[in-house]
Amino acid sequence: MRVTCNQDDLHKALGTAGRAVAAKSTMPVLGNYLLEAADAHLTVSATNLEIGISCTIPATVDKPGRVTLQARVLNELVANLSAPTVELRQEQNPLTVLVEAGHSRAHLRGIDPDEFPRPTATLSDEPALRLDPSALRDAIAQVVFAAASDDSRPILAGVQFEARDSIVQMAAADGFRMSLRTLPLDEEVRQPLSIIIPARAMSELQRVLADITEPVELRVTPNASQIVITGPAVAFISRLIDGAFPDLKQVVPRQWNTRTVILREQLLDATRRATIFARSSNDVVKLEICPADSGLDMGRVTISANAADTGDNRDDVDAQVEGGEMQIAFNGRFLHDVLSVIRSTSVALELQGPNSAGVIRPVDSDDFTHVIMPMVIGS
Amino acid sequence: MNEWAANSNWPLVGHAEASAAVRAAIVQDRIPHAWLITGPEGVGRTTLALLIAQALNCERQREQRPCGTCDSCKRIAARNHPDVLVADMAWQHTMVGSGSGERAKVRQRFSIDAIRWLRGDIVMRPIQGRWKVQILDDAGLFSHDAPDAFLKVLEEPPPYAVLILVAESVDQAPETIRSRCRHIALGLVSAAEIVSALRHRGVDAEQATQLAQIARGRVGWVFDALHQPDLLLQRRVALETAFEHLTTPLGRAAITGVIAGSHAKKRDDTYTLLAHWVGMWRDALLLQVGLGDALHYPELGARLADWSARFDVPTIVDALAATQRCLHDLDTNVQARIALQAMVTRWPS
Repeated sequence: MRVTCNQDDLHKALGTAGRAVAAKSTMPVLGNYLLEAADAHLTVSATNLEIGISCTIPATVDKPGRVTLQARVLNELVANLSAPTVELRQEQNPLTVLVEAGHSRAHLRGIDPDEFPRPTATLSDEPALRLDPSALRDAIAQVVFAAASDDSRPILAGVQFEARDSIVQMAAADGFRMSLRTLPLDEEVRQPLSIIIPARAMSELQRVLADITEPVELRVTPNASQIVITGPAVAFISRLIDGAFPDLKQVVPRQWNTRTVILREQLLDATRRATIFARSSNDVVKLEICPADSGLDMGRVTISANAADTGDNRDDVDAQVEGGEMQIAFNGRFLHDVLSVIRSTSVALELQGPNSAGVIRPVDSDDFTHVIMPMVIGS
Repeated sequence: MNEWAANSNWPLVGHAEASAAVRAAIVQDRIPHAWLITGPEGVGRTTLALLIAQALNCERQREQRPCGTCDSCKRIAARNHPDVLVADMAWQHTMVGSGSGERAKVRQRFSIDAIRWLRGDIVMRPIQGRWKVQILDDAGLFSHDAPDAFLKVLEEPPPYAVLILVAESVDQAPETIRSRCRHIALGLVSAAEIVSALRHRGVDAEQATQLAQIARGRVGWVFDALHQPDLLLQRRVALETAFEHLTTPLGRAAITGVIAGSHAKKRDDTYTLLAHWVGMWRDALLLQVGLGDALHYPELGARLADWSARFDVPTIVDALAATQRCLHDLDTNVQARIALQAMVTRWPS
């Protein structure tokens, strides 16, 4: 292999693909990048067997070939090169690569590229879905945090991803909260799709999508073992979780006794302040909802927290309240998480009673639903 | 098994019966989701587990599996296959950490974190092969609460998953786990089979016989010794040391002095020595009753015979019992010096 490319391009590609390098593994080759040079392109790939990321950059290829090089070393080296172009050249010993930039020369020793896991099986030409990267990113942000972070229920550590008619629906839950998000598509889905993507992979995908502006294509391998998302110069692969995801739509309460519409920023700020005090009391944040006394007044939500050894705090926020008075307590962190990912100015909080799940939605759209279980408060 | 062996690559030495059982399962495509392979260390337990993984994921036709030559088979042999995981203590140390200091010592068993990791991994479908295989190499070493966590996977394994547990004996696995596995018991490999395997690999008859005799049925040790001649040398040095301690008054003084003194720091060394002494007294007994061809230490044979000729059978039996008693005493935390002294005083001189 002999290839020349722009230092900045290479640095960026290594950074993006580097998200998939295995931090720990018993297979040494997973700590390496796979570099493949062909057809005026250099492709940098990495995988930790759960996800894989490939980035392609333009390059002058004098001799095609493939090598693997230690990710950490190559990444640091390229980051610290000052010349605008970098040449990578396989030495006499095919496992050694000379990296040359300006007056700087370095020899890197790699591992046989045949040890690198084979890329995924051949995929269909026609993608299952085409998605707008920034819309997909927003949608991921609104569900991924609700997935379970411990390993005790592996299926809940994933995000359910369903596509049919002309919408995508994503869902995640960890037993205490759940997020449901729909994403409209420009075209009809040819083949309905229902898969579970690991939440960790979704978070990485979110990062990868940040650099992409053109629509991305989504494909699933024929045996439904992996999902492949490709953009103009990047491919993202994730393994899929096998199993039956609980039907979360059934869990969403259909009625409410008190519905509160409140400015999102104000509620979020009040929640932030309350969590400071809630920290040492299991994150319990109390909400007291009071309807307006007359048609001329606003209703009010009082957000409060207290801890025996720290102190206490209260915030009053104006709100439109329909229905009767209500007191309920939520985990402050959960409340904070959901309020931070909603984009609309106002949110609606729909409650049945102090011991029933609460629903939070944006008021200007019906594409997002979040459900939080309440915490029990002593009388 | 032979017909199959002719078509496929089955480098397992001995264990015809076990091989036939595995073959039947694969040829009939009735794959148990959980296997329990038991037997002493070094008889080929992990080799068999890897062979099962190869046969399941081999890219050739069913009759030729495992071929040993396709990409999948080669990756599995090199432990480099994305769908076949060999989880052992080294793996656990890398993947979930073993802590440091005191904690590291405790973690000589599969921790609950490791089992949770495996559970999170098994729900992901295989990438390259048809089957996802997890080999738990020493499943006798579950920590206190790990079996329960593992049971969930065994109860409802995903359709593509195969779990292979490797253990020293069937008693090591809790009943709840045992009852959910297809059990394959491996015994020691006969000397004749080891000799024939070695001859097949081009080792000359004399060396093959010698190695087979030393191996005591642990074929893994023979192959290690073939590739690392140092092992044979180390064994020789260890034996000479043990023999010297056994047969000379100064050596015996060292047992109750230096060795007893350093036992706290070098426990494993003491146990190795004791195991050798047990073996030597056993050999002495065999020589007395004229069974010289079944010796553990054939290379010491003549010298051991000369030295032990003056003891009668009951004396040797008593010395053997004393040595075993010492092993037991050390296990139950009797003070090393006292246990070793008690042993040496019962040895005839």
